[in-house]
Amino acid sequence: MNPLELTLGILTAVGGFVDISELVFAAQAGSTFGYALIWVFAFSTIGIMVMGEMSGRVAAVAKQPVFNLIRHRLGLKLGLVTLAASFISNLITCAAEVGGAAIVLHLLTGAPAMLMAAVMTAVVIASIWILPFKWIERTYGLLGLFMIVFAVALVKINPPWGAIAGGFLPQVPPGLSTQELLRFAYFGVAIISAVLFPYEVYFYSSGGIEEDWGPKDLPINRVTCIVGFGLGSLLAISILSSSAQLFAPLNIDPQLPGSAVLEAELPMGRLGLLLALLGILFAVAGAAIETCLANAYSVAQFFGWEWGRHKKPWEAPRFTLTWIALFLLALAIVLTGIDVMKLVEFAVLFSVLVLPLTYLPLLLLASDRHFMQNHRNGVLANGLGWFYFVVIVIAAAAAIPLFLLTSGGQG
Amino acid sequence: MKAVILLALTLIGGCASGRSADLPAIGQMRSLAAEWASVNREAARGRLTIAYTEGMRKAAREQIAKQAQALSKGSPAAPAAAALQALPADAAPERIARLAAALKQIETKLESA
Repeated sequence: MNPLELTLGILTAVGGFVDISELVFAAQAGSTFGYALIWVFAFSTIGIMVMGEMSGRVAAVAKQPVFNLIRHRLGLKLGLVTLAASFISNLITCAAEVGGAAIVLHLLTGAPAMLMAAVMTAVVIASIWILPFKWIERTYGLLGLFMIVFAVALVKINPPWGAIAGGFLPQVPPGLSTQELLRFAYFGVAIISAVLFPYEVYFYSSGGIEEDWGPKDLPINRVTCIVGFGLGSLLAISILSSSAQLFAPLNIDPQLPGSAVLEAELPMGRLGLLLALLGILFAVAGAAIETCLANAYSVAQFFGWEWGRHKKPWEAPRFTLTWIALFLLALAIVLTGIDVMKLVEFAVLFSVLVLPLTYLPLLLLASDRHFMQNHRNGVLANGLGWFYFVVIVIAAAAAIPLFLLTSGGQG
Repeated sequence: MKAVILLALTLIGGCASGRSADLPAIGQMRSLAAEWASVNREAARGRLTIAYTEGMRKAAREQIAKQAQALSKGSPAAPAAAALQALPADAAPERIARLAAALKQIETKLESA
């Protein structure tokens, strides 16, 4: 197997796991609760592997991207509700990523963040317009691998590996007050939401169709999901663990998107700083592309338009106009001067509400004998799928009360 | 459904009245000050770039000013907030860290109240 075949999974996972929201939540989770939330990452990673594999399999066998299924399975009215909610969620997320990338560029160059947001938007629009889909995934997926510096930095600080391993066991830290328990639950829900962001499956399944996957590609789909999402999870857990080790003793619960960079700088000096800034820049830029294209895919698939980057931009004009307009809309949101961290909170909150409506049709179709024939869900995939669906529904129900009770996780 | 909404509102109301409404702002200011101190400590060791140092200092100071405005009148954190705002961007990390520690003490006290 050509390792480059894995880049769709790497882009999806690095963009999905270590986007701007994950940088914030992983670092804050580590500094606030030590290693006690690692298991939530591990648990959610298995969930996104299961759902991602399912969406890729449905794309390969039934040639159906996720939003087609949503319309057919939920009907027009509920489908429209899902489209509207996911549109808002993806747009806010895209704006958060553009704003995050602008901050990183500002920290790299010293140029004003607003100018950098405009430059960043122009660069990603140009790269989507010019590059074929394969090269979009390869460029941003592989450059996002600079993020591995966070795993290297963790090894260099020689953390208590036994305590990190212990974090993989489901637990609630003992002796927490009621308010701290609520905060712990809020972080748990936010991590589940951020790991299982709906845009990941919209992008991944549409990407499979862009690449003309068929049943012969199912092994690649499986490996891609395991390696890609596994890698993303490893990076997020590295950020959380370094934060527990380095930030907690300094009373830091990172409030600034640029603070996570210090996790690589403290053990590795200026080289660590620059590699971490570049890694975050490409991962966040990849996430911006992912969220924007995921939104354009959803709209085009829902209304039955021509879509895809495998076509020339003028061969799918409404799809092309949609993704360009979405990027400009995201830029406009950033240019209002809204705090990127607030955008991140809203993005995560909105996403968790969309999760059940995204995953239900996928589960139904992946088990459908008529569409999937021999490749329908087996007992394990079905059992895990429904189990995670129940978890998602509970998380969605708890999200808003926990957000209000903890002032967005702040106290 | 009404009962669930009432229960949620009671919980939210209960939590807000039993704890200082300033706690989130104090916690964020404490962390921002600690982040700023770390940046200045590493900058003094010559390990950061100028763009990163200045960008982080500016962001931390802006956010601290924003959180200070959110404090209620007579908040116990107001003096520390004012002292933080009076510091220059390149203040000694020890001075910033001392104020972060003072905010942490106030935070702990309010949390246990």
